Amino acid sequence: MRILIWIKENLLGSKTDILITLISAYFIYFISSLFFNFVFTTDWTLIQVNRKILLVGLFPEEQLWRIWTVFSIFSILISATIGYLYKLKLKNSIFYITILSIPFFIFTTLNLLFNILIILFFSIISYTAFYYFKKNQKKIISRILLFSWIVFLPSLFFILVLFGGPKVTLWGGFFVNLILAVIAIIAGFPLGVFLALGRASSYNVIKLVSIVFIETFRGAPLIAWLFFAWFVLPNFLPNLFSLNDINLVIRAMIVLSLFSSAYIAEVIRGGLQSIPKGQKEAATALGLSSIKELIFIVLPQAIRVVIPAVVSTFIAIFKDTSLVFILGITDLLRVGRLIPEQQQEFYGKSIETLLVVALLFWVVSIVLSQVSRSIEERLNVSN
Amino acid sequence: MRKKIAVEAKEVTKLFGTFEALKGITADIYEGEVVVILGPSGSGKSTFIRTINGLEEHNSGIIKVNGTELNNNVKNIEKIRSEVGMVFQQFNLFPHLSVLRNITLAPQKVKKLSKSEAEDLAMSLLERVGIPEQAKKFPSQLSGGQQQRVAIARALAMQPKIMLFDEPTSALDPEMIKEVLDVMTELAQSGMTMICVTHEMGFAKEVADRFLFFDEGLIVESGTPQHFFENPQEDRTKLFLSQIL
Amino acid sequence: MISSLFKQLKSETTTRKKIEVLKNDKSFRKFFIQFIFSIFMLFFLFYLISRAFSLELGFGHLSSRAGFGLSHSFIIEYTSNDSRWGAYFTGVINTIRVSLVGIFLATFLGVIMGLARLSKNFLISKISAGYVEFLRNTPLLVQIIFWQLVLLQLPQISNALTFGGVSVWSNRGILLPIISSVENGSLWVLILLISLIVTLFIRSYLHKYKEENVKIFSPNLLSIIFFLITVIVSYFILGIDLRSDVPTLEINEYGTYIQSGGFVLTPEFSAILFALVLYTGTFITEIVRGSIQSLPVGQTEAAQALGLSTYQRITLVILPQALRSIIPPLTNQYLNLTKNSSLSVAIAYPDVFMVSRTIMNNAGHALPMLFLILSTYLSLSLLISLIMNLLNRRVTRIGT
Repeated sequence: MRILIWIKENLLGSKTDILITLISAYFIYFISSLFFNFVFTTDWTLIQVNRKILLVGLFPEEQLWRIWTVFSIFSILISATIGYLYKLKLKNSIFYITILSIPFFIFTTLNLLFNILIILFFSIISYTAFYYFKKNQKKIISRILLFSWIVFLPSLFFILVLFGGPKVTLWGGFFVNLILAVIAIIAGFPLGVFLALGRASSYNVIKLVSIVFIETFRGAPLIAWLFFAWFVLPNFLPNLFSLNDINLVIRAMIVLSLFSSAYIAEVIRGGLQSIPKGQKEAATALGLSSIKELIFIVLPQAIRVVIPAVVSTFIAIFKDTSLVFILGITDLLRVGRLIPEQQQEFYGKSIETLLVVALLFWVVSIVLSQVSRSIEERLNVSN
Repeated sequence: MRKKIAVEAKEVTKLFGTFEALKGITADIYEGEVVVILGPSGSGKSTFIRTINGLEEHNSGIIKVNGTELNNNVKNIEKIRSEVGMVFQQFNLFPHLSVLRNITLAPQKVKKLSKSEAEDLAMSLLERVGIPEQAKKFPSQLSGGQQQRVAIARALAMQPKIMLFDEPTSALDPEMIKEVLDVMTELAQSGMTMICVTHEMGFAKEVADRFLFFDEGLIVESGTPQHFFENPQEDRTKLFLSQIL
Repeated sequence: MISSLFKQLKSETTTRKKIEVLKNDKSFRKFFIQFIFSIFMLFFLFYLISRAFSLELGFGHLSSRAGFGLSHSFIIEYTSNDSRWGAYFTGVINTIRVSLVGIFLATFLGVIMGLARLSKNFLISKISAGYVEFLRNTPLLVQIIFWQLVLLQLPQISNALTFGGVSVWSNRGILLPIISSVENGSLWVLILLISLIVTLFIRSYLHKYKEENVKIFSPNLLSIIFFLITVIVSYFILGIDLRSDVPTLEINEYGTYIQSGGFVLTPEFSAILFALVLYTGTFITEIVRGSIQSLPVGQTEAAQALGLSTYQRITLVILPQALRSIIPPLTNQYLNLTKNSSLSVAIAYPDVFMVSRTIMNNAGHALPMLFLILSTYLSLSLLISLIMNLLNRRVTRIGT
């Protein structure tokens, strides 16, 4: 009975309402039938065959342990952080599990299954451990966590590259997009903080330089800057360490970091402006120097406030990594475009590969935006 | 025995763009004195006390705090700020820090006190203002009156010789004004040099040694509370008093 | 305070004391820090400039013959014999074209979807939510390529789909009937658009004068008259001859299909347009939704209590107020859309970026070209920001 009432109110309220309902229903039917028709009648073997290339490009098989290591450490650290920060709600967990299982089923083979299960196992242990220990040893646990993150992030690169790691030219697939995005954010964030502080500073020269930097990078589309990295940047890099000869992927990383820092700077500037002037005056009256005022009063609050915006900037940067396709770098999108062209048996199956490419990007983005939403909710509640 | 001068102001002016907020203030405030500053809004009261600790930079004239001149010398500014405490109308507590941390932050970072020294000091000050049990709470969990008392404790933690109050009770609900005024009264009785901008006439009559009446950027009249209420000289003073009493 | 600084310096006798005073002076410290910083910046700049000389500089190459054709040119006819400046200018026009159309369509879509999202109708609200969640989280480039592939799935010209003889759909593009003129048609449309914008400005100025009690008779009527005058005058001066243009398909003597007439939506233009509109539309949807949701509930309740219909409530009460908070983030999206149009380089729609790329391939001079691109996009951004700023001021004006 209740269902009927609900239907009447929400779908059949008035004449226009009924019309809208009919059109919407037809629209949904049309799109879904198109979609499911396509998904279930095409041959998806090309994905099965090309799993590895899509995910990591031409990374040599015997070196894949590096990626596994990085992935496992990352997974365990994330679970620990989640355990430390809050309890997972059932609704959210179901959401994440459902979304993440889609690429899981597409990409996992029996071989990988074993590795994945082990990582999952350790992640769950790490989550529960940190969740329970937080209650008693909050300070020690938080120090361990912070320390691990600070150590992990730089060592990420070393694990991948040192002691005979494969050349950067062999990196490819989804892995490239992830690495580019992660490095761009890690490098871009501190630079962005400095730029934001410079932008807000009363030293006019520093302010001018910050504004010029931010507006220049934001003024041109990212693709123009990537072309800059391609054609022009080598010229400006010093001759030491044959830096002017470095790989295009690294150059893309540099430019992507600078580009992100400009956007992050604007986000943080918003946070800085949201701090009431009175607090800065109180800090001044107490005798805190500008730097101390910054470190203890302004930045902690500003950064906390802008975390949702920073996460959405990260999502945007991650999506923007697809642009390296135009430079010829073999990221996920390029691999997806090359497979139908280069592999005879799959010629003409461009749309299938493109859909899988889109799916991978989509999964990461939507998980991150849900995370951002949860953080926002928590921040609003605690205020 | 001549009392020492805590704050000396001579022909202090302050411009905001083309607006003359202070047109030439001259006043001497003695050690241990409690001075209340009155006047209509926009008369320069807040501006004046904000120039004393350098929150506003005065354009001309001389300001001396305990003998140190307030000028462009960074060392002078630091010294003056360590001797002058300020309490704001909007409390300006740091919302992301606990009450205890709000109070211990400056002593630890500026006066280099150890953590335990700072916390002992903070707890004794919280007792003095009457809310030691709130130490671990956060500002948003406290009422307005409690927050302002924490703000007073925070300022006192730096062991200032002079306390400035910029309309400390104007943002409070009426039932909480008394608790803050009680703290301020106790502070005055303990011998602290205080300069207060306030509209609380009851408090002012009880506690002030001297009144300064500001209007349009100048001191129009100054004198004891008795003088003010019983024998005001200037017309503007009389007009103001008739409006507020 | 500088004079007091000099006085102090003079009053101190020894050099050491003088340095002491200087060291502790607030303004000097500020100056000194900026001075050191500037020195570093100048060194850095010097390094960059010295490095830049090893590259090809100068814009001279842009005056020489282009030597390449462009698949789209609008308003001005471009051939490969024109200079590279001509090619660049054509690129700029193409960028403006796709951005302008994209902005209008995306706004339209975004507003509708935003309202849909807030509707009580469950289905349409979920459709809107799904639209946003799916298309916002997929990279724009992926969407562009997707549409390109989809449009290429249209049949070959020999098997083109025709709709009632007035539209032809094939992988060469979509042909739609249009009213056009033999000569100067696109120029006239441009003039109409410009005069429309000028008319709106005139109208707002006339309104302002009216408020200040200057006797002006009906600003609206005067503005409409102005607009009509420009329309009619340009019509005759340009020799516009309006007639309906129906696309036709013919086979010439070599067996080649020729499509003529009508208005061509090429696969490239369509792909870029669809992707830009759908993608940017998701952000505009969220902006509209956020703005409306941030309005106090009391507004909707009051409007309903007054008996206004849903349509009246939305157009008379909700949207005008939501506009106040919509315009700044909306401007941001417009700027993004314009910059994102550069992605057309991936599917060979000759916007300003793609043209620059071709010029770079042919004649080098990468650094000057990048500088030119930067200036172009900055100018476009400034123009859009200015217009939106004026709109913003008008909308946030208290009263009217």
